[in-house]
Amino acid sequence: MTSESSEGKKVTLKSCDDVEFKVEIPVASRSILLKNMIEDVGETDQSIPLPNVNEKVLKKVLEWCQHHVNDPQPTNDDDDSRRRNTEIDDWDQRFLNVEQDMLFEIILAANYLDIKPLLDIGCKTVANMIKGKSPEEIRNTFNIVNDFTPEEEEQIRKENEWAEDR
Amino acid sequence: MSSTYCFLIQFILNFVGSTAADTVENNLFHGKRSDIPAPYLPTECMLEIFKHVQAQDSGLYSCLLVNRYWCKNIVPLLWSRPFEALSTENRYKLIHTYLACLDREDYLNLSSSLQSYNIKIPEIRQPLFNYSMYLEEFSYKQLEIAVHSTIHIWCNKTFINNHKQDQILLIATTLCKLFMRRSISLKSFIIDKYFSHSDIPQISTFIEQPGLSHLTRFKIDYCKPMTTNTIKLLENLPYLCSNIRCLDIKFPIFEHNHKSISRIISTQKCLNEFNLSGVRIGSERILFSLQSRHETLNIIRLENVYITEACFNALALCENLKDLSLWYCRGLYIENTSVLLKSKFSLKKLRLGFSPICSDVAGLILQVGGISLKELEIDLINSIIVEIILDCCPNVKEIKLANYFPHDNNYLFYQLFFGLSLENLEIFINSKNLDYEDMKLTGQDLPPSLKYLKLSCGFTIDQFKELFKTCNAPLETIIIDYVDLNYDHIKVITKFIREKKTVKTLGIVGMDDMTSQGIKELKMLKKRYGIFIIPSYELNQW
Repeated sequence: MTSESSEGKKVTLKSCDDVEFKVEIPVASRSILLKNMIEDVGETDQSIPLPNVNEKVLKKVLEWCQHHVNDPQPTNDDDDSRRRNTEIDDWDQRFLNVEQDMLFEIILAANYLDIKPLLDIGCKTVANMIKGKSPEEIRNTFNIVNDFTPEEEEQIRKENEWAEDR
Repeated sequence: MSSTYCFLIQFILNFVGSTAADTVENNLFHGKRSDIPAPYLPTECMLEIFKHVQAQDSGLYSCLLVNRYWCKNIVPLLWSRPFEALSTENRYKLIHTYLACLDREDYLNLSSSLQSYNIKIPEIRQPLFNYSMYLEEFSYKQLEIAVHSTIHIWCNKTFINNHKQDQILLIATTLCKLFMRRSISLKSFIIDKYFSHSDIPQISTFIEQPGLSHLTRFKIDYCKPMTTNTIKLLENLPYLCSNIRCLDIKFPIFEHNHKSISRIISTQKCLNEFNLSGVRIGSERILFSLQSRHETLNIIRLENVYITEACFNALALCENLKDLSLWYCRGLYIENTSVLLKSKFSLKKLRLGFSPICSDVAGLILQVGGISLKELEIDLINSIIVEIILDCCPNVKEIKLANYFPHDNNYLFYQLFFGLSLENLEIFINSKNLDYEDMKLTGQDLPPSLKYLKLSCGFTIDQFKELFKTCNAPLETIIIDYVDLNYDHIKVITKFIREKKTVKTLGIVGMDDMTSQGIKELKMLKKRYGIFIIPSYELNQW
C-alpha cells in the first residue's frame, strides 16, 4: 500500500506495519532523524524503515510535518521557547484534539523521530490536562495506579507541604 | 549508622528497587478505568511534560502525590528553586524539611547551640529524599528570610532581638554547609541586598565540595559596604569554580573590589555574559580583564559604570559580542569610543541609555551596531539619532523606546517607524514621570508591518480609543501595561480584536483587581475569537 504526499523530490518511509508513504524531502526533514539520514544516504529508491511508528501514527505525524513544512527549524539558542510557554496555536490545538492513546503515540513518535516542536506541543497538551487537577483526578485522567503506601504518601505530603499552595 | 546511609537504604528500598515495576508504562497499562491502555512514555518525555507543568507555576505538588514514579521525577524539579514566592508559614515548613536532611552530628550541634537561646528544634523524622541535593539556585537572602520566619514561629513570634542576627547566622551557616556538601547541581549563587545579617557565613562554609564547583551563574548585588566574609568569598571564588557563564556584579560606587572581580573574570573558561553596575573606582581594571574572555563573551551590560578608552579597547576585542547595553555610563567621549568602529563583532541587540549631551557617542555606537542590528532599546531620540538609525541600522525589526514622548516631535516618531520595517514596538514610560498619563499616539503612527505592540505607559480613555480606532497595522500581539487600566480600556481592545481579526495574543497588566466584567470579556475573547490570553506569571517574559 502506498500513500502519496505532494510534488518534488521524495523519500519513501515505511511504517512498522509495512505501509509505505512517499513524502517530499522538506516535509520528512521536519524530523531531524530523517533529515540526517537523508543527508547521509543521499537520494535512494529504498524505503526508510521506521520500526517504532505504525501507519496510523505516521500518517498523523506527516500531516503535522506537511502543515509546518515552512516553519523555521528550531535552533539551540532559541530563547523564544521560554517566552511562549503555554501557547499552542489553533491548528495545533485542533490537530492534537485526539484520543489520549493517540496523543501519547504522537509524543512517542515525535521523540523517536526527533521533531522537537511537535514533541513540545504534545507535552504542553498533556501538561494542560494536568493543570488544576488533584492527584486523584490526575490518576483518573491517565489511568495511573497509586502505588504509595499510606505512610509514604503521608510523609511525602508532609515533607513537601510548603509547596502545596504554590 | 550515618543518616546519609539511612537515606540511601530507604531511598533504594522505596524507590529505586522497584523502578522496573513502577514505570509509567505499568501505571498506564494497568489502569483502573480505561479499557484502552495508554502507551509507554519514556522518562525524558515525562520530564518534558513536568517541566511544562512547572512553567505554569502550579500543579507540581499534585503531580508529586500521583505515584512513586511521578514523585521521584517531580522532587528534583520542585526542590531546584524552592525558596521563591513562599508565605511565612511555608518558609517555616521548608526549613523544617531541610533541617530533617541534616547529618545527625550537624543536627545535634545546631540543637545544642540553639539551646543557649532557649530555642528547641522539634524532633524531625528522617525524610524520604535527601532534598538538599536538588538545589540549583541559591540566594543567601532568601535563605535568611526563610530562617527568620522559622525562628519567628518557633519563638511564638516573640523574637529575642538581642540575638536575632546570631541565631539566623547559626542556622543559615548549618544549612549552607548542607547545601555545599549535598547539592550536586548548584548552578546559581546569588548574594543580594541583605535585610538583617551582619555578614554571610565564613569562607570555610563555602569551600566544602562539591559546593560551588558547578556554578554557572554568580550574582552579587550590594548596596551597603561589603562585609569581611563576602570579600573573602570573592577572593576565593576563582579557586572554587571555573565554569561561570553569567557573572552579574552590582556594587555601590565606593567599593574597591576590582582586583577580585578581575580575577574571577579571567579564571572562568566559558564566561558568556557579564553585567556590571554601579562601579566607578577600578572599573577600568575590571573591563580590561574582559580581554581574557574575548572569545566567549556574547553579552555585556554596563550600567552607571565609568568607562575609559582602555575599556572600549577591551570591548572592541570581544569578537563574538551579540548583545551590548550601555546605560547611563560615565566617561563617554567620542575620542574614547571611536575604537569601537574597528571592532569585529556583529551586534544583534543594543540598549542605549544616554543623556542628550552624549548624542554623538550614541550615534557612533549605533553605527557600530550597523546592519546586523535587529533589536534596539533607546531613550534618546532626536533628528540625528533617527537619521543614523535609518542609514546605518536598516534591519532593526524590534524597537523599545524608553521615556520618549512622541507628541514632543511626532514627525520623528513617524519617520523612524515608517523608515524601518518594524515588527515589534514597545513604548515604556516610567509611571513616576509627570507625563506618564499623557501619551498621544494614533494608530496611523504605527507602521504597516507592525505585529507586536507593547504599551507600558498611560493613556486617557479617549487617547486609547483614538489609537485603536485609527490603527491599520496587522497586530498579532497586544500587551497593555498601564497602572490605571480599567474595563473601558478592555472594551476598546475587544472592539479592535473583533473588527480587525488579526490579533492572536493579548496580555493585560495593571488591573489590580480585574472586575467580573473584565474577566468575562477576556473569557469571551478566548472562547469566541480564539485569543490566547497571556497568563499573569508569563507576562514578564513577553
